[in-house]
Amino acid sequence: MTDDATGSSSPAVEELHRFVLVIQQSPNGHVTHSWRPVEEFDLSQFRLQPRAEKTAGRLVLAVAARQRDCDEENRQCVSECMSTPIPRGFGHITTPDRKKGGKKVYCERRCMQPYLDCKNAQGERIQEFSTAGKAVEWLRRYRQEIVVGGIVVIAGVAFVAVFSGGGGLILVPALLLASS
Amino acid sequence: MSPARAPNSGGVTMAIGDFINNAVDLLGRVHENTQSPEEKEWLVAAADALEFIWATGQVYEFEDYREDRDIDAPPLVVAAFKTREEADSWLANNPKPPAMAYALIADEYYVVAYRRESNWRTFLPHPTLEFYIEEMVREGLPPAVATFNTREEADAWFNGQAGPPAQTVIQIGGERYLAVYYRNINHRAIFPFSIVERRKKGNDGGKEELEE
Repeated sequence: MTDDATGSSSPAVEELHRFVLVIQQSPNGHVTHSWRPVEEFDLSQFRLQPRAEKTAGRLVLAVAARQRDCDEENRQCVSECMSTPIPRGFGHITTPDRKKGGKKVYCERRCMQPYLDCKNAQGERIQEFSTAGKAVEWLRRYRQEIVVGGIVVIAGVAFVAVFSGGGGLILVPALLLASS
Repeated sequence: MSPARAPNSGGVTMAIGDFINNAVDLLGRVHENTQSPEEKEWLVAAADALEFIWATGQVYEFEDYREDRDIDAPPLVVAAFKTREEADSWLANNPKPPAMAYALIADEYYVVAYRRESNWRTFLPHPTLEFYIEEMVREGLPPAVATFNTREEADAWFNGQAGPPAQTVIQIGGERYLAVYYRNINHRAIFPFSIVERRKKGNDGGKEELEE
């Protein structure tokens, strides 16, 4: 029982590839997770149709998820911020005795978190966890940062995010998508 | 060299400890007259930040930082590396990565991306220098203080100064550059103003050019 009390316990590692991980958020903000046997799950309900093929024994997954341009989003965020008035008090402290850049600093700081979130979600690297417990713990916290098509490797088993939104996240074993 | 912004009260130089005490005291008085719990918390955070500087032994860094705030200069960086490999190894082995601070890799700006919870660590490119140079150009460049035929000559001139100004506009072979000295890490970098030009060209077909 490595999982916390608010979620279902993890399947055995050798069984992992036959389970779907569902993380949900209730309207009051409470987050729960559950491991559901794949048989209970209807994959056709998701619009995502990943193309998968086996080549020379190696699984290749190509997921048609839209890639965000985090760098461009960051530039736009800063530009938009620069063209709107900053809070009165802040402006008072940064000008006129302070040299230029006060507003720029303010805007870059404001846009930094979204920029890092975007980059992190895009998976600068694949998220990898040695145990299901660790993965669940991380995913519950950062579930909103995983985009559809994102890959999470749990104890050697690759999962693909087929749904992400409204505080919820669904991860399906990649092998399952390959054979569907 | 006299400190540009020594803590003072009525023209009398004050010990940094007293200076911090006075600031915390003022924040406390404003706190008393503040109703909103949220705003009260922000005031407490400001006082905490000052006490954090004191308690963690960073008073000199703080004084330097405040002095630098009064000088036009590109954003502060916490480290400079020659290569990405060097930077990555530093970050991987750093027990306390400076989250969200800027660093230079091969004299390009990056932000240190670090999440304590997930131990996510990487360098992400950041356009902060472009923004800075754009603003400089928009406000009108100061004239170049020195002109060189080659980059080597400029480097020799820049490296020959023990404590150069935070930034100096120079000209090398007809092109304008910004020579920047990061005194906190004793690093010198020379940036071409054309980094903005190049980006603009990429965006709107090269309509915009830097003018003399």
